[in-house]
Parts: sequence; structure tokens; C-alpha cells
Amino acid sequence: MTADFPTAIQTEAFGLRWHSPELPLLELPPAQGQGADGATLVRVVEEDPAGWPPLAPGPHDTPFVQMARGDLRLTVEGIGRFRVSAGATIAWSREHGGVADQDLRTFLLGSAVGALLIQRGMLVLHGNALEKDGRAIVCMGHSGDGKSTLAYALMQRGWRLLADDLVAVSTEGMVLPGIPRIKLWEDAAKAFGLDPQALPPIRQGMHKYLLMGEEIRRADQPAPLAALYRIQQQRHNDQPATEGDDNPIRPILSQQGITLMLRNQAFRPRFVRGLGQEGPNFMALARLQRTVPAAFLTLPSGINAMGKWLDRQELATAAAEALENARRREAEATATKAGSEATSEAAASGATAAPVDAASDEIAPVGAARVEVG
Amino acid sequence: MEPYYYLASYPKSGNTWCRAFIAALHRQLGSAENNDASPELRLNQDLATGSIVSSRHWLDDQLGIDSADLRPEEIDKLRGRAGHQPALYSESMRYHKVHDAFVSPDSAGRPVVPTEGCRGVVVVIRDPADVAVSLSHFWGWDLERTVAFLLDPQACMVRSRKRAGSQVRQFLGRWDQHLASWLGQELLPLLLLRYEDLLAEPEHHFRRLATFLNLAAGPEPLARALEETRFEALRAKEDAAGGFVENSRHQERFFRSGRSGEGRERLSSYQLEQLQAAFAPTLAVHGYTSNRSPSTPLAS
Repeated sequence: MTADFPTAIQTEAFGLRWHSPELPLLELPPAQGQGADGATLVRVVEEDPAGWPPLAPGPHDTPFVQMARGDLRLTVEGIGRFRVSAGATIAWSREHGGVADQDLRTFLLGSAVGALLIQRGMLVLHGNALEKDGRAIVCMGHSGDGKSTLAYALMQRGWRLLADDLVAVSTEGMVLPGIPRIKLWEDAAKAFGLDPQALPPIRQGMHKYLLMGEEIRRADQPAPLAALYRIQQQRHNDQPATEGDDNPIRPILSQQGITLMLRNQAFRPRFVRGLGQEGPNFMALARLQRTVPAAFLTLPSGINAMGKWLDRQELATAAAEALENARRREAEATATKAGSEATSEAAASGATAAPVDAASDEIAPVGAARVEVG
Repeated sequence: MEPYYYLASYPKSGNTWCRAFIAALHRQLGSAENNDASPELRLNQDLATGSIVSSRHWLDDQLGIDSADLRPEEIDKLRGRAGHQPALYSESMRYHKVHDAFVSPDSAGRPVVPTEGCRGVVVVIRDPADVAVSLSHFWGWDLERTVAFLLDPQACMVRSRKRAGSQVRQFLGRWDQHLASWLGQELLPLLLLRYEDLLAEPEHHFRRLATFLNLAAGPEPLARALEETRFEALRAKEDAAGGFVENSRHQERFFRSGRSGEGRERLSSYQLEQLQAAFAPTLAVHGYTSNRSPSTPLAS
């Protein structure tokens, strides 16, 4: 098996080739071929942080993250330290011998890889991406909103996973194949009929599990981004705007609304600022919001209800259709207004057809909008 | 770093009421400055006085990692050192609600909340028997289970380790230990308010709150803010708005009763005895003795 060794330690993701001799990146698919195809090589190496040059304090630093252009340091206490430099290298160190490889990988693949992609000028969104019939959708949302659950349910319905957690979008609007794994909490795994005992935990002793390798239907080619969804959980006090108007897909009409949504769902905006990548990031976001339809998607609660609903959906086109419908209704309402004496009924029907404004949902700080008790 | 305050309380002790008052007062003061004609408090838009301290969104930004990849005991060791840089949050008011105890068994003796840059903490307490009734409605629990929660030295909110959530686990501990953790800390200036006093003498005690928060308000804005955040007024706003975003799915209204003394009517004599026996010294100090009217503090 010695001949296989070089490929076993070279993997690929985000259009890059990853060489990690000391820490096998099991979540990433093995690189195809022998590296003669010109793909950029990223080195992932173990290093002693004592040898890292000191960084001057930056305006966006926190007690855990220090940043300068092209250089990011991350400390995960009890786990290890990471240095991401020049979009080409991730150096890591284990805090002590008891830290498992899996613990290191979890933070390396989440934060360090994300920082490296930002350094390379890529647009990185926080969510997951799925592909079907050559078209990609990206689902974003906060922890607990159901992104991973939705991704698994979509895989059961013929979608293939492009990327989890970090979604990189190229300047051409293509979603790049990223990390093909899903992290499912125990309750969600059980609800899908999976046996948590048979799955590897994301870290020792945690009730959150990795689905990867054979468990995943993986897309290995970039796909054009057809829709952006902001996933939301159904809230008890959600009420349809009018009787029968219970479409859980609500398009975001205004550019400002999309901007706000993307800003709230970006991957670690602090990294983007601290690494001096706000300019390229802004341009990439502007391109995206001009060209890709975006919508809120309120998932029916419960995996069965969600599954039944998904069976009737075509998510690749649903956002665009919802947007078109909303614009048509808006135009009709305006025409009615202009043509007649603009009765209050006409105005009212126009109002009910109007989709929610992203601002009303997103502008409030997360904590205030979703509190447990008062 | 922008100054900020904490509003710390056991759940269902008047935290939201205080936030509503602060928000209303801010709008009154702001309207005088900006010539804003309609400073009326909007229940579902204006109570965002600052993130809850247990918000993952805030923590993840500070830690640079996904806190859902950490165990609760690991998180409690880090939370106190997360900063309060304002860049991420646009709101000008910074009064952060917190239900955590000041320290947790996992925080290695250090505060669970950041203290750097904090101007002070307002601690609101309420008769635990009334807390039990309110909490039982909010969580849809029976009184027996709710009383047991108040008595549980290991009590936590967002306890499950098997699902995701927008907030991290919050250690409360026993009701009296929770209070002691905040009253015993010496890092932050403190104002202690009793829910019963806010009910009985709103002008005096809400003025104390405004003064502590350095909100210089004349009698008129103060009176208007008070009028707007009386229980009946908040309830009317909740009805007019068709609900309050902070309500739970277990009760029809968030502003349900607002009275004091419900605990004594609704709890069984055994449950009242349980609370009395467990919390006796604390209850006595804060004027919640069984022979006295709960609205008459022992010392004030």
C-alpha cells in the first residue's frame, strides 16, 4: 500500500489540493490524479507556535483571534492553536497529548479553512450547499435553525451535497465542492432513524455526529448557484399573513433586504475585516445579490412534516418563482391603484401579497429576537 | 469599548419589564432630542436593548469558532473573556439581559459573563413562589416540577446536549444560590430591585433604576415611560400587536398576570413550605417572610 501513500494524504476541496501529512483530513475526498492538473496546493502542517512571529494588535482582534493582512491566529483553549497564512498554509499545534485528531480537525476544517478561503479572496457563506440536475442552492441560518436536518432530508430526495458549513462561491457564481459531511445532533439523527451509536461523534463525548464518506451523496463538480435560502424554524406565533397564504417560501424583494440577510449570514465577518478582505468581499456579495434570487424558508416543524413538504417542492426554482409572483402581484396592485380610484381594498390586497422585509427579521440582535424566557 | 450594563435575574422576575421601561425611557429622551413625534414604545421592535448574554451569535464571533462544537463545560470557561466590541451590533442601547448565575460549576470560579467595560448590574428579584407560578405558565410545567426546578442546585436552562440552539446552556443553580452569586460578586456596581417594590412604588423604584443607569430624565419623560410600561399598558400592546415575540408557545399571553401574591394562592402548603425551608435566610433578608405581606420589605 506504500504506493497509495501520497494520495492518501492529499485531498481536495474548494478547488484546492490539501496536503496534510501529520493530520489526515478524513472528511475531505482524496485528490484525483497525482497533482499534475495544476490545482493549488495548501499545506497543513504541525508547528510549534513559539516559532510564529508576533503580530501587532489589530482593531478586530478578540482574546481568541488575532489578525493582520494574510495572517490569522486562532486559539481554541484546551484544543490547540492555528495559524493561517497567505492563503497557502495552515499551521496547527496540539495543546496537549490528550487532544484527539478529530478535535483538531473539527476546528481546523471550520475556522482555519474558512480563514484561508477568505485570504484567497473567495466569498465564503455560512451554511450548506446542495446540487441537483446541475443546479445548486445554498441554505443559510443560525445554529438550531435546521440547516443540517434540511440537507439530510434533501439528500434523501435526490440532492447531492456540495458543501457543509463553509460555502465558497466563485466570481462566476459557481458553488465549489467543499467539505462533504454533515454534522447532525443526536435528536435529529434519531428522527431520521439513524443509530447515533454507529456514527463517529464530532468530538469525544459530544452528542453531535459526523455523516461522511459513504453516508453522503456527494457532488464533486462546481454548480451554478440558483437560489439562496435563509432557513428559519417555524415559531409558535407565526401566523399566515392571510387565510390560505401559508407558503413557507417568502422572497426577499429589496436589494437592501438581501444585503442585510447576507451580512447576517456571512461566514465570520470579523475574519473578513481583520484580514483586510472587505473590498473583494463586498464586490462578490454585490454580484451575488444582483444575480441570485433569495428567500426566507420557514421549515415545517418535525422531520415528517418537513419531508412531506419537500416532496412537493422544487427548491432550485422556488425562490425565483416566488420572487416573480410577488413582483407580478405588486405590479398588479400598482396598476389597480393607478387605474381606479385606489380603493382601500386594493391597497390592502397589495399589502398582503408583499413579502416580508428582511429587515424586520434580521436587524434585531439575535439574542433579543429569540429569547428563552423573559 | 462602549459602556454596557447587565440586567440579571432569575427567569420571570421582572427582567423584561425593566427592559421595556428602559426602552420606553430612551424613546422619550430621544424624542425630545430628535423632535420625534411618535415616541410610543413598540413592543416587538423596541425591546432589543442588547443581546442576551447567552447568545451563540455573539459568542461565536468572539471565539472565532462554532460554539456548537464545544461542550457546555468548555464554553463556561471561555464566556467570561469574550469581549463586547460593538462593531457587530448596531443598536445604541446596551443593556444585556442575563439569566445565568454569575459563576457556574464549570467556570473555574471565574464569572460566566464578561465584566470588562461593564458599568454595573441591575439585579431584579421576585418572591420565588410567584416566580414558580409564572415559570410554570411560561414553560407549560406543573407547579410541582417548577418548584423542584427552583430547588435544584444543578438547574440549567437549554440543558439538552442532543440538539442545536441559538443560546448556550445557562447554569442557574438553586434560586437562592443564583441570587447570592450576583449579590456576592464584587466586580460590578450593583442595584438590587424587588419586583414587588416596582409594583407598589413604581415612581420611586424605576427612578432608582434610571439613576443607576445614568439616564438623566426629568419627571415628565419618566412619568410617560412609566405610564407606557404599566402592566395593563404592556398587556394592551401585546393584544394590539397580536402577540409578543418573547412569549413561549405554552401560554396565550406573555403579560399574563403581573400581580404579586399568586404563589401564595396557587402553590400547595407543602410547596410553600419547601421554598420557605430551603430559602429561609434569603427570604428573610429580602422581605419575603411568610407572615408578612410580600409587598412590605423587611428593610428598605
